[in-house]
Order: sequence, then structure tokens, then C-alpha cells
Amino acid sequence: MSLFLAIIFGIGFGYILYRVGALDYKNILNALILKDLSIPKFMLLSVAITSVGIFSLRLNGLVTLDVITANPLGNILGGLIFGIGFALAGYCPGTSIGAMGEGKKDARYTVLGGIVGVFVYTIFQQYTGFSIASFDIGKLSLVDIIHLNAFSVSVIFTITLVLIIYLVDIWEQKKSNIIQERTIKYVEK
Amino acid sequence: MKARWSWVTGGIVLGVFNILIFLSGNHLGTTTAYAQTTGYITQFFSATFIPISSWTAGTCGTTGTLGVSWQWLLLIGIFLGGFLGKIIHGKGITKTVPDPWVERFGDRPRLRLSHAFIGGFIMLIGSRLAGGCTSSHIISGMSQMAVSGLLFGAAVFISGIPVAILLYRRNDR
Repeated sequence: MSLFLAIIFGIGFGYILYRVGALDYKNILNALILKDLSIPKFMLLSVAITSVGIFSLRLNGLVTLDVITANPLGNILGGLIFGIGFALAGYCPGTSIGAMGEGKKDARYTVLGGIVGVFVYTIFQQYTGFSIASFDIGKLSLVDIIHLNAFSVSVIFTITLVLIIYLVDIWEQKKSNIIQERTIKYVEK
Repeated sequence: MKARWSWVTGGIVLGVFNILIFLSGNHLGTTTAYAQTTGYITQFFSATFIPISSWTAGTCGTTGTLGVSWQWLLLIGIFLGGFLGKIIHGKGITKTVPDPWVERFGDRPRLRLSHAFIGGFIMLIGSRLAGGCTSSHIISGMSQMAVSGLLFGAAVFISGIPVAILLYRRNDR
């Protein structure tokens, strides 16, 4: 049953990513060159909703969390490296699979590159004994840092995210107004 | 343009959808499945070359066996989801080289494909180092207010934005 659910959830996730345009190179690129921040706003809004949702369900014990261990070195360095690849490929590991389903050839190469990347990283780890495990600081979440009950923290977190999304949206509108004004002036000249 | 959802609609739908995933007792994540796939391939050629534990040593938290896992089937689902979206709403043929790329670098499929490959290569090395990717660290991790997810999410955009701007600097309008 659980395995059957995996496919259903996968189809739903892939379909949502398709409908919102997250499987398109153009939209990811426009986000990274700060031309159209729809995708980051979409991601943050989903996080805001999920966060307050799961923490309220958790009050009744309906949801269990699975926090990934924080490792500041790994998370930050890994994230920085990831960002470079993200900008070059225009897909993330998940969306490249969906875009591959759509029939995009470049996404197929991203997936292939990913598999080779994992292979090289694992071999490197295997033969050098390289490990960053000593930098693990435990399964930390904001609840461990802000000393309030978990649900209140999630409410504050959600409100903060919505505020950030709102400010980003205002900034984007201002920017597009300026561009419009410039174009009008240019045309008048 | 195809029938596209606004970011508001998309955000609400994914937000609620992700709550359902949590309710089912599962969590989104795709990096581990990449490692498992690579594991299948090397196991096929040699069982001793790299021990199974190196592949299953989890990024996004899975069991210790190398089998068809939840995450792997999730990936199959994502593939089918993209395929369905294309069939239901898509029209026309899928281009190998995306439009912004053609504007900036010209219609050069090989250049685009090599960037896509190198991008995927770098991305998954980063993912393995960070212990997760966009789905597990941002969509799932940040929802749980995980410190790992917040750090990762910030780092991705801190490096991704300048690299993309540099790549497209001449076309920047």
C-alpha cells in the first residue's frame, strides 16, 4: 500500500511541478537571474502552508517529523555547490526527472550527469575515507532554537514566510513598473 | 502559453498535497533514489566493488536495504506526472534547446546538453554532501523548520543567482 502511494504521490508531485512551470528551464533561469520570481514564491508559499499544517496535525499526533541532521559545513558547502549545478542545468534532481517524463532531452542529460556525480562522489568517499560526519550537530529545527512550543513557532515561521513572499512580490511589481516607465519614455523620445 | 497555474495556486496545491504526504507517514526526497540507482548499476557489474552500505547510507532517510524503495517509486511517479502533464496540456514538440538559451548562446544542442550534464553532475555532488536536495531539504525540510533545510535553501540561491547572472550577463535586461 505504501509503495503504491509512492507512485500516486510522485504523479501528483510531478503534475503540480508541470502545471506551475517548475519543469521549464526558462522559469528556473528567470528566477535565478531575478527576472521572474514565481518559482521561489511558489516554493516558499507551499512551505508556509505545509509548515503550519503539519505542526497543527502534530498536536494530535497525526504527523511524525523526519528532520535531516544539520551539518553546517555539509549543508552550506553542499548547497553552494548545488546552486552552481542548478544554474547550469536549470533543473533540480526532482524536476529533471519530471522534465524527462515530458520528453526533454537536456533533462535526460542532467539525470545522467547526476548519476555519474553520485558515482564519483561515492568512489571518492570510499577510497579517501572522506567524511564530514564530525560536523553533525544533530536533528535541529527552529523549535530547538526558539524556546516556545512547536506549534507557535510554526505559526511565526509561516507568517514570516508569507511576509517575505509579500515583500518580494511588491519589489517585483515596483521593478516592472520602472521598466515600463523607461520603455514609455524611450518610445516618446 | 499552456494552461499554467499561477504561483499562488501552485503553492497552495503543493502545500496541501505535502501535508497529505506527511499524513501518510512519508517524506519527499529524491537524492537517495539517485544513489540507489547508481548502486543498482555498480552492483550489477560487481558486488564487491563498492559495499551496498555506501549507497544506502541515507541522505533522505531510508532503510538499509538496496531494493525498490518508496523514494525510487516516487521518482517513477514524478516521471509519469511530467509525462501526464505533457499529454493533457502540452502542445507541440519539445525543444532540445530552451528559448533563453537560444537567445544567449544560439541553437547549439551539444553545448546545452553538455551544460545540462555538468550541471547534474555538480548538483548531485552537492546534494550528497549536503545530505539532500530541493525536495527533501526545501519542500520537506524547511516545512519542518529544519536548520539543515534553511541553511541549504539559502546556500543554493546564494551561489545559483550569481552563476546564472554571470552566464546570462549579456542578455540581462
